[in-house]
Amino acid sequence: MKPSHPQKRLSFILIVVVLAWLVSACAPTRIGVSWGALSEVEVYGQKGVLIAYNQYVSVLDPASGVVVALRDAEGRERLDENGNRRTWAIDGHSFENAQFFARPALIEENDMQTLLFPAYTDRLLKVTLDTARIDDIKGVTIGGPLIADMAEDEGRFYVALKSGDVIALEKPLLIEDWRYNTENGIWAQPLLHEGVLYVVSIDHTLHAVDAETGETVWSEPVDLKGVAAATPLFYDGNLYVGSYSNTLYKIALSGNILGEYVAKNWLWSTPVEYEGVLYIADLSGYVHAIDPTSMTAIWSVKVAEKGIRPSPLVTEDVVIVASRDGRLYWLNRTDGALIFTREIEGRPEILSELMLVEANSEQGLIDDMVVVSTVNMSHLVVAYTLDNGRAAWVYAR
Amino acid sequence: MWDLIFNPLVTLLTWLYSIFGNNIVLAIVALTVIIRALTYPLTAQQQRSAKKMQELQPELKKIQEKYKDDREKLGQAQMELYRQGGVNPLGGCLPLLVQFPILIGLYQAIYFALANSPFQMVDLSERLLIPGLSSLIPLNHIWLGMDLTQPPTPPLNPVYALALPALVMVTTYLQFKVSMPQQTAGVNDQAAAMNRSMGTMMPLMFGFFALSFSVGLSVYFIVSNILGIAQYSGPGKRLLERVFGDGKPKKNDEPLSEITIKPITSPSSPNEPKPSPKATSKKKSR
Repeated sequence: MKPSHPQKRLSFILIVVVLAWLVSACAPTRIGVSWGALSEVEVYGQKGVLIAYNQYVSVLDPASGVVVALRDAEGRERLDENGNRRTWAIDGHSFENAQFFARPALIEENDMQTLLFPAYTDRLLKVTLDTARIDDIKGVTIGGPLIADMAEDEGRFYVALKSGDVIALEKPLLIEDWRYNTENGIWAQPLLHEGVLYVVSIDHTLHAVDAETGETVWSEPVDLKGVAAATPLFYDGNLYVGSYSNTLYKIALSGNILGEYVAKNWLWSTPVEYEGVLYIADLSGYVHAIDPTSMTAIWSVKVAEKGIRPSPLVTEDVVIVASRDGRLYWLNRTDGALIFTREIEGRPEILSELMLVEANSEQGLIDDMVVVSTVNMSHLVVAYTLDNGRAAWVYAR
Repeated sequence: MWDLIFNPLVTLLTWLYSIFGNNIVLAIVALTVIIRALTYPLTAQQQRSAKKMQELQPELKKIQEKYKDDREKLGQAQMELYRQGGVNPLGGCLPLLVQFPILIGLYQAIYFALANSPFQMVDLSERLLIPGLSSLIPLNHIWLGMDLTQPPTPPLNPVYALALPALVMVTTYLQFKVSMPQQTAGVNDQAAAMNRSMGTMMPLMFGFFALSFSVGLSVYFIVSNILGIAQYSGPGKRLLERVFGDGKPKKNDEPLSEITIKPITSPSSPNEPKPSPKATSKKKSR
């Protein structure tokens, strides 16, 4: 039987809807604006791995990857009304869709520990460490989205905004003390060294700001010839900072550029210094070991199929890097030779900083662990042993 | 595979941005013009094919009537008609299929080039094929007070940015109107009904895209539609006729050449009455 006009019309509309869906599906879809942040916290006297990504924050047991249970004053596990154990987890949906991409800072006041979370939704939120509670949903309004970790000293927190402002907040009331503006966004934690904040901006510049007054220290910011999105490293009296100009700059504290090392692609991580050598990876998948005196390569090897965003994790023997190709690479520290690789199932991108969790027999953690976070919720956090790369656990959200 | 399309376009857009004094809107306009020019042979072929198909509609209708109980013969007769008319039944679809990835690539290029968050930026890192272009990143994405990387809805953009989705809808409708072949009265009502549905759905669909995606993509949609309108309609008076006309051929339309339908013979039914070898049709013109 031939389809009638209304049937054909309906089919046609369905085709158009499917087409629209296909076009939408072809649009790049990323969850959130940035990647997760791993940090170490201590809950009930035990070390935990805190992961903050999008609307979710959890604290994991580093030995098992299981979310830590909430406990009462007597140390018993807390249960909800259905008798299920309550866990250390925050769902930003309950807090005006708060999103988290940065590490929290620890505040200790009146024998109570609080985590101060930079939220992408223009505010700082206080989370009670023992209960994982947010009492003040509004938090401290900052006036712009936050991606970068905060810097702090005894008297202030220094908060860098995606809009380009740096704000000094006086402790303990978090009252704005001063505000400094760069022309574009700030995506990296400011470096605080001897009373000066060194701030990189995606407007291609490195700024030096007096932490006490918020006034600029240099007459002009340093032009890095490309987006700068990683915290500078202070080493041996100088600053080392990479940019999207593929260049790692060596800069004196006076703001003069002393040397340059040109990599293969954008540099988006802080170099790591180990025994007088700088290690950095670029977004072509190269890893570089650089002599900071001469700013020349000791070795430079192509390691990964895709770019490497986070800083390398360096130990006495190995350099470990994680790539957008979903793999981790163990390299010989002396010559960059590949020792072995580990591939995460589904090969999700690894963009977050790597974390080293040291062995702790009291917590049942026998080996040192390398912990990474991916952009795939089914492998949000993955842990490997440092020595032999044995897969220890996977945390799926 | 998509990267083969996306990366050159992202590079070209960024290069155009530098050529046009770091003006991203001019770069989007220029890129759209370039892509429209490159795909012109395809759109022209699609247009010709649609026009020829439209001209064959009266004959097609007759054949459908004649062979309504014999699908096999209907198919043969249709193919013969297409052959004689010099029409490839897929001639309208294939150019569209080829253009589709290019169009997706174009607006993806705009999305990638206007990277404004760490996630978008990391995607951009391996797409610029000319290394020196990195120094232009991030592209200036503020235009007339609007953030081109954000959807037009407040508070992400000023209220007046909502004019862009409206413009997208209007220009999509106009482009659709001028690109559709005019319908012969009473011929192929199904096609006419489909065209009407499409005329409603397309502006709504693209209006929805414009509301959901970044303002930069709305700029692309509008420029692309305006170029399409110019391409399909020609000079101003004709444009007005196409948009506001009743969609039917005019009295002074020129008759086109005649097509003679050859009789369809089948070995299985030698006694089948043959269509008149003199069956002819005055084809309609635009």
